[in-house]
Amino acid sequence: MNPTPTNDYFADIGFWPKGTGVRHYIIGLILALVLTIIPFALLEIHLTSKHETFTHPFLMAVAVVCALLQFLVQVAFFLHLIGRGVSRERLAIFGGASLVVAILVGGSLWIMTDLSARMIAPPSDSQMELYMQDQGGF
Amino acid sequence: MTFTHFIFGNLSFSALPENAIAWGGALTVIFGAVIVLALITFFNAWTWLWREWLTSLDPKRIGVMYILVSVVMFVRGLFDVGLMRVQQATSVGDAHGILTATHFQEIFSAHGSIMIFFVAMGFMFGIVNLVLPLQIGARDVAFPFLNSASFWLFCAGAALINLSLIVGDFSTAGWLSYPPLSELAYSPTSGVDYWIWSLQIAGIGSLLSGVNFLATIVKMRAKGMSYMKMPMFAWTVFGAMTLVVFAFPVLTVTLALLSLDRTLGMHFFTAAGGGNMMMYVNLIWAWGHPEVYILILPAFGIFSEVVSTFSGKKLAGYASMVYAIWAIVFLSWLVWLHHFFTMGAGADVNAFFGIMTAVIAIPTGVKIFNWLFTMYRGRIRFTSPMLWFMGFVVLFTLGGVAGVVLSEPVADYQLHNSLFLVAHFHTMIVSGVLFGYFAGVTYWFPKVTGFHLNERWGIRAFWLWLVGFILAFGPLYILGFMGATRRLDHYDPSMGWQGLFIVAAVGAFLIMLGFLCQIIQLVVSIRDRKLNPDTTGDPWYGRTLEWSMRSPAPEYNFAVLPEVTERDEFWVMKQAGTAHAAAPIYEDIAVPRNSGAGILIGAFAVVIGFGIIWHIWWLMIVGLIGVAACIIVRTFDEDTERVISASEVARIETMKTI
Amino acid sequence: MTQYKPEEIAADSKSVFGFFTYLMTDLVLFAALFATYAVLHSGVFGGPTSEEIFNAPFALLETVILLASSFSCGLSLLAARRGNSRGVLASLAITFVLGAVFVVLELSEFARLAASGVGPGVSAFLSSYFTLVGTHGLHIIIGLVWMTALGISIYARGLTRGNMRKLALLSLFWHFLDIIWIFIFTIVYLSGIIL
Repeated sequence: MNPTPTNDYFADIGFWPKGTGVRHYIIGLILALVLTIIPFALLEIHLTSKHETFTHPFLMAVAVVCALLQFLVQVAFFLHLIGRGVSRERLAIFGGASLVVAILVGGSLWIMTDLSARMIAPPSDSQMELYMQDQGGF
Repeated sequence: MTFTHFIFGNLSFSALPENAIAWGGALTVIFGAVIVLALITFFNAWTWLWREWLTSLDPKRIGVMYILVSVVMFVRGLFDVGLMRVQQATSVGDAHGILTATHFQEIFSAHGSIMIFFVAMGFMFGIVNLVLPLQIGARDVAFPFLNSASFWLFCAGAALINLSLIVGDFSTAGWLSYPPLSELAYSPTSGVDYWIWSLQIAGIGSLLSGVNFLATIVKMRAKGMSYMKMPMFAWTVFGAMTLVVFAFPVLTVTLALLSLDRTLGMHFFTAAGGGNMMMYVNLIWAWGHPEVYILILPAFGIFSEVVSTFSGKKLAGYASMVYAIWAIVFLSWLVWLHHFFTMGAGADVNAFFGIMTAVIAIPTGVKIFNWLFTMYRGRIRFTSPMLWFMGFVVLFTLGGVAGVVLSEPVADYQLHNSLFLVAHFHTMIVSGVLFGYFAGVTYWFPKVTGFHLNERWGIRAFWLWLVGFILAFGPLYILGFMGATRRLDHYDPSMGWQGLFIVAAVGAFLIMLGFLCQIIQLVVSIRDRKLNPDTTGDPWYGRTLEWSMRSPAPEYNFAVLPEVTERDEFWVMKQAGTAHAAAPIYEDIAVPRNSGAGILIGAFAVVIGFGIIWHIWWLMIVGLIGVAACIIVRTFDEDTERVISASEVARIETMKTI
Repeated sequence: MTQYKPEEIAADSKSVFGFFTYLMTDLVLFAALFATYAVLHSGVFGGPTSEEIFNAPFALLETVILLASSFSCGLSLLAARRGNSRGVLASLAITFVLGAVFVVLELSEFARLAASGVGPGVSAFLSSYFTLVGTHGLHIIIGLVWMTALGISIYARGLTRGNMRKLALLSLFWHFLDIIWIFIFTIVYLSGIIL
């Protein structure tokens, strides 16, 4: 648990693996920029062209995939959680948190859409507005 | 906005109590505080109190303070019990008991909130503070100042919920405040805001404690103590703190969203505006289910220690116990919908969560069998901690079986929010959490204070609790099957329930006598402390490292940090005759300096909460600036440790303590 | 280069782990806000929908600015490793400026919306939008305050061990916020315009 100190304080305290250099940040920046621009560019093309260039599901899929990839890129190159010499404990906590996030978001969506599908169609918003005015508001 | 409104927000004289019982509560808090302050002044103890306790960063001190606050809050929670039991035993037909419906609702809401957040959580963090560093061979927790700040945030929450007795009212929406009842339209007074902010502030303290203890276990175990050599209590704390760290942020968000609805007119959970109140129920229980495992896991850990020590045997199935903990931690994230089967989800959703709920009973069963296997062919000493265990093992198993009944969604449609449910969860919390913490306090009391708790009064307390609990909650299981719902302040005599409610009231009274015995036990033990000293530091012939130094443990815990090669290292060393080194070589030891910033942060947190509750915005800003300033000043402080010289260590190690 | 004692390295390693654990709690906090947004984003109550109020080029600008600030934050760590306190302060200053521009842009967006009657009290969708994005913005502001305090400390005391540790923690915080932003611009802005 006590590594021999080197000239890299940040490596010694487990912040980044030994041998981390500016190239990691540059690669991370470039990849992140590319993964950011792709969905925006496709969206811009889609919006400015006269007809539907892409389907909505396709655009969503591209956006989501790029987001997840950029997430991994930033986790690897900026948070230094991927690669040799990575901190096992931080990786474990990160894994646990990711699992909880997936369960929380996925589970909530599953439950709430299921509930929503089982509701009697609610009044339209304008009907609701009229009703509330009639009742004197909240 | 008038000047008065700017200064005082929504405060007015109508915020003072409205009936005799409410005034009773307010005056008890006021006079209680005055008496305590007067006593401290009379004994000229302010400097001692400030230096030795309030500003201490020693987790052994902080742990004692957590437990003391929990005991005080427990008194209030028990008072609520008395009022509720009297009401439900007498409010039948033409009689309407002693409480108005609104007051009854405030009381059951306060009862649940206080018992979970300010008794159970406080007790738990108290015991963890006292024991965890000692058990893993560390001198302190990972972040001592954060520990102090967390404790004072806990106190700030307790202060706010007690202030609600004096100024304003409390929520009538139950211990979880479901909207729409908890929204401004249906709860326009300060009550729900008190609930929100006392829990929010205490919750942040809990979250930070979770981070702290997790880092302590991961980073501060003694040399050679791999994970699989840790004591079982430390493992359960590891699991519980993992749950704290991942669950409490959900509570923070949910409370914040409700307060945004109420204070800034947002529409998360209101029908108007397109909100969805079922999302509140979903989120609050996504926190709420892990919360109950946060409470029970350390109790399981205590029982593991108690059973193995008082059976004179190593814990059976160590590895399976560890896997069971992590199975519980993982599964507790997959069951939360069982708290709202009846909210209307489809069969597939309900079935999934129902099955998962039944499955989570399995790892708990593994633990129960392992404790019994540990006892089998052991040389059992029936000390009061063992009695608490035996009460637990019978009652908790039965209550757990009731839980499996409830896990079946179709059955739950009949039993949801009935007294059967109330009986089930009280069985879990009282016979599981409380009995476990009581056993733990008795077990580790000598290590913390240097003397024993009076065993005779402890045994009396146990029997009163056991019989009292059976009488108080046995009838509730039956009443649940008879159709009685929870939170009833009045019912018709034709239901045939009154007899059982009267029995329940008797049981509650016995529990209060049991608690009284515990108070007497404490007083008598302190009075007789020189007659019951722990002279060896190892009063129970224990197995783990916390028994390897004198009692009470010195500030730095270990004069020489231990090195571990085995599980139950201390037991192994005793068998080999190497438990007490002849002439240890002492070195200087650095310990944290005291800090007043923790209590200041807590005080400013009360100011923030009070300001938001009463819409006194300038006060809220003062509080926020205060907290920020304390934190920033602390971060610039580089001189946070003091050194205990080696000679001083030698002196402390050999001095007489009682 | 300063050699630190093993117990100092162990203590700082503990701080990194503890702070990272806290960041993971923040991750769950944002997840709860995202879950809320996902469930409530269709609750427009007859009011403005996402495609009516979100502006893709604006979101792209904010994204690039934050990404650049993440990069400059990384540069400050590399400078710190070389013992170059001036380089650290310069990169931190750039990070601060970019972060401040981000906040100003976001606040101006909120102000513009509020001025045209599109505030968080209008509908569940807007409540969850303002709260999710606003919470992220609040974290950025806290990061800027922290950056200022740390900058002052480095200016006054140099690259002490304490300052090095705090720089590491700040950079974890800052990178984490950029990671959250990825999901905000994808789930809120991009999908708000696409769907």
